[in-house]
Amino acid sequence: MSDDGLKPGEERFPEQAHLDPAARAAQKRRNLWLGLALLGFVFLVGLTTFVRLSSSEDNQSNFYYNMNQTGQQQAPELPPGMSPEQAEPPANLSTEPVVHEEVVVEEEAPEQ
Amino acid sequence: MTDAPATPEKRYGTAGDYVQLLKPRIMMLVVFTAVAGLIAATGVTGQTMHPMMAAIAVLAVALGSGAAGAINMWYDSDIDQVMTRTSTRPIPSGAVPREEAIAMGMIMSGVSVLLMWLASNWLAAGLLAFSIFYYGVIYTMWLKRSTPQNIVIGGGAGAFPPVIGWAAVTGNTPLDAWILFAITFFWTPPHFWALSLLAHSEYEKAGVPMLPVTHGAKATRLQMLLYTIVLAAISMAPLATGLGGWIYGVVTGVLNLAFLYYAVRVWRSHAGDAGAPGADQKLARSMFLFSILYLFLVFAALIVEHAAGLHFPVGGF
Repeated sequence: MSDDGLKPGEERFPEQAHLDPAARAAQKRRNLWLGLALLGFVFLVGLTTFVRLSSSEDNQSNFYYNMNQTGQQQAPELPPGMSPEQAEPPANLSTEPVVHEEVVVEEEAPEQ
Repeated sequence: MTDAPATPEKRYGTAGDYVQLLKPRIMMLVVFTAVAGLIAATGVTGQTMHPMMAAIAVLAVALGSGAAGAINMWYDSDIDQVMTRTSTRPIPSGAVPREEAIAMGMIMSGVSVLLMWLASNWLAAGLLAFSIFYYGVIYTMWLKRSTPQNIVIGGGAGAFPPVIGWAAVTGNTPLDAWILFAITFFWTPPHFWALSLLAHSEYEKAGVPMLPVTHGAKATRLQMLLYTIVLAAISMAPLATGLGGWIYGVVTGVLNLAFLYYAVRVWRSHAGDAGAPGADQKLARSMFLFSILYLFLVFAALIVEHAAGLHFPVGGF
């Protein structure tokens, strides 16, 4: 142990730089502005991410919506040489959706 | 016993000093021309940008301009100290240390380019990065101290904002965007030389080879007139491409006549000569101030036409 109370190889931390009150106040002001600037940057990055994500969701839903709409409203292109009459479904086939009626099986009453 | 010499009181930078470092007056003009490019692109192509993204893109242009200003002040602090006009800037006055100025400039450059990329596309971000490099390195570090054509070539840096605004909306830079570039490019020499005619002794003292220092005031006045004639022709090009309509044509036509009137009067005067009469010096100052109004009104006419639905094209191909 040396005179200054340090073990061999140990070093004392350098003393903190002394700042006068004006310098300290200026440093605090700068730190505050830096903090606000960083906060602003994080906010802007968050905002752009949010706007991009939400607009891409819109695009995606629009895409599917439009695809479904297209499927319902526009008939597919006919092969060459086929007239629209030929493309019509046969008269004995209905274009109405088939509704399966529920078959109710009445249970016979057990013989007594 | 003698009194100790009084040491000057140390100044600590205020928020205002840091704002000055960003050259706010140049920033305003840069932002305005970028907004004009953005609105004109929307009007011409019909492509739109999310309003929030457009606002962030404009903010990115403002930050980029400020970053370039801080880098310029960092590098030029030695000559700023010599010239009276610039000796009160934050670095020569001791309010902001040089290291802080360059750190601020570099960080803001990165932030502005990143924000532009996030808000729009890589082309606009790349153009913004290049314009910062153009002003901070090509103009400030190389051209300014080496050639009397410094502000002619360096003017390209200030001409990029409308192209950046256009690219942010459309993702490309067609001829119309480069016409807006050319207007600002050819506007810069008569604008800046009008100021340097008044301050050429300061530039001489600092060793900056401005045209009035190297070639004299008479040659500068002639160059100002020639560039104003070229500007007048270029500024009417939007009528041919359909970018500008009737309102733009009338406003720019009148402004061109006024700008040419100033240029001819300055050319015939002795502004910038040793012992020039006060009226001649005042004329150069008037031309400098008018040039700011000129650029503002030319771009304002474009904004009004495309933003208010008053765009009635004269021609177009």
